[in-house]
Amino acid sequence: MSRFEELATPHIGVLYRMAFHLSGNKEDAEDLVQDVFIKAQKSFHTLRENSKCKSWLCSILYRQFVDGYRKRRYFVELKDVASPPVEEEQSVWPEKITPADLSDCMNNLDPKYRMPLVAHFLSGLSYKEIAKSLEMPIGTVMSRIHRAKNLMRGKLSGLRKEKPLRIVKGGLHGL
Amino acid sequence: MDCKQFAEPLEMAPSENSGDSYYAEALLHAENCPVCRLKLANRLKSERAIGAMMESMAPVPDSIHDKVIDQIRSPKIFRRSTNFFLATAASILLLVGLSYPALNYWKSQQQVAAVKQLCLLSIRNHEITPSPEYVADNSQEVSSWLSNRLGHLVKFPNALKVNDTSFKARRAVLGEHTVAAMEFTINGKRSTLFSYYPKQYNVEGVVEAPMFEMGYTVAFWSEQGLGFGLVSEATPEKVNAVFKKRLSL
Repeated sequence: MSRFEELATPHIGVLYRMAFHLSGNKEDAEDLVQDVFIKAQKSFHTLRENSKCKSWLCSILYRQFVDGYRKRRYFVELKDVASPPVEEEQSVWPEKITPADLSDCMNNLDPKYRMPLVAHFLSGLSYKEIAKSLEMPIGTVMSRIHRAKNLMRGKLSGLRKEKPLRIVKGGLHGL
Repeated sequence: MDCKQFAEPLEMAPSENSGDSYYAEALLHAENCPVCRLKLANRLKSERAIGAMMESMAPVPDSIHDKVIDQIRSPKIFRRSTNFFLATAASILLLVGLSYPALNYWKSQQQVAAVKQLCLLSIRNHEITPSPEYVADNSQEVSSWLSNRLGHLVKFPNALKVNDTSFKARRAVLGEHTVAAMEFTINGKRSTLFSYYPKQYNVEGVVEAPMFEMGYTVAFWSEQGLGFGLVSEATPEKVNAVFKKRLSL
């Protein structure tokens, strides 16, 4: 096993999950992850600290995602994201959320909010590390995550009002 | 930090992983305030639940690990990159290999063009005598006559040493300077040879006064049946330098 494999492959799962929520489907997520690893392997010499491998991979994922989105626009769910949802902002998460609702909200989230949010929830990186990965100021990352959460909460609350409440395995209860 | 101030970091983006100084004070407050501690705990709990749900929504397929491993171990990558490097190196070598003679050719063409231009310029400014002053059937005789007239030895281009060649010498004037105009035919085609000196073009000082006894042929070519030649005492390099100076005027 090469040094690259040893350091990078433990993060396949995290990267796949992030890629899935960015792209919105399994096939694109797999392609994205494979592209990330090819890129990463080629530029492995640029990784200065082994402990930063995950954030380094996240930064490659982000760039690949942005490039792919610009070039191919294969993330079809993002076609109409020019204007983000305008639901009323909420400071708390609705009591019950289903994966379908969450997926729906994610797919309607502007990419500029989606990436920091996905990184925040799934990467386990600190804001500082996310900021470095996304090449953004930490304040921007925090405000985008905050804004993304509010938009999602608003959307989810709207969905709650439109649909009857349902109990779903894996949903949120009493939060 | 008090409870009111705590609301902002709580609302902004609480994170267990943040480790950022921004939260240090807030976390310190939460440790000492049961109400805020509960708020923070609830908030983090909901965040964790969202994160867990997102994780559960994207189960990592078993195949992805193998696919990635296969891809990064695949010799195709190395072959592709090796091929790429080889192709690049070959392209560079080819480019260099081709560009060197191409560059030389381009340079020679530039020189020829410059000589042509200057020669044509001199022809326009010449007052050539209407009839030949000397006629001979070989270049050595004409060369000898011309050398006597000009006061220095004139060497003819080798290209003129062909059997079917006849020579006629004319005296020509460029401004106040006398130059030699050699009219000759090659295979029945009329040609003219001019001999000139840098000072005739008022470029004295641009090139050092030549000390050679023998002239140098700096250019000879045939164009639409009309041949042109230049004989100079200066070396071709010096003449070229004069051309550059002259043509830029």
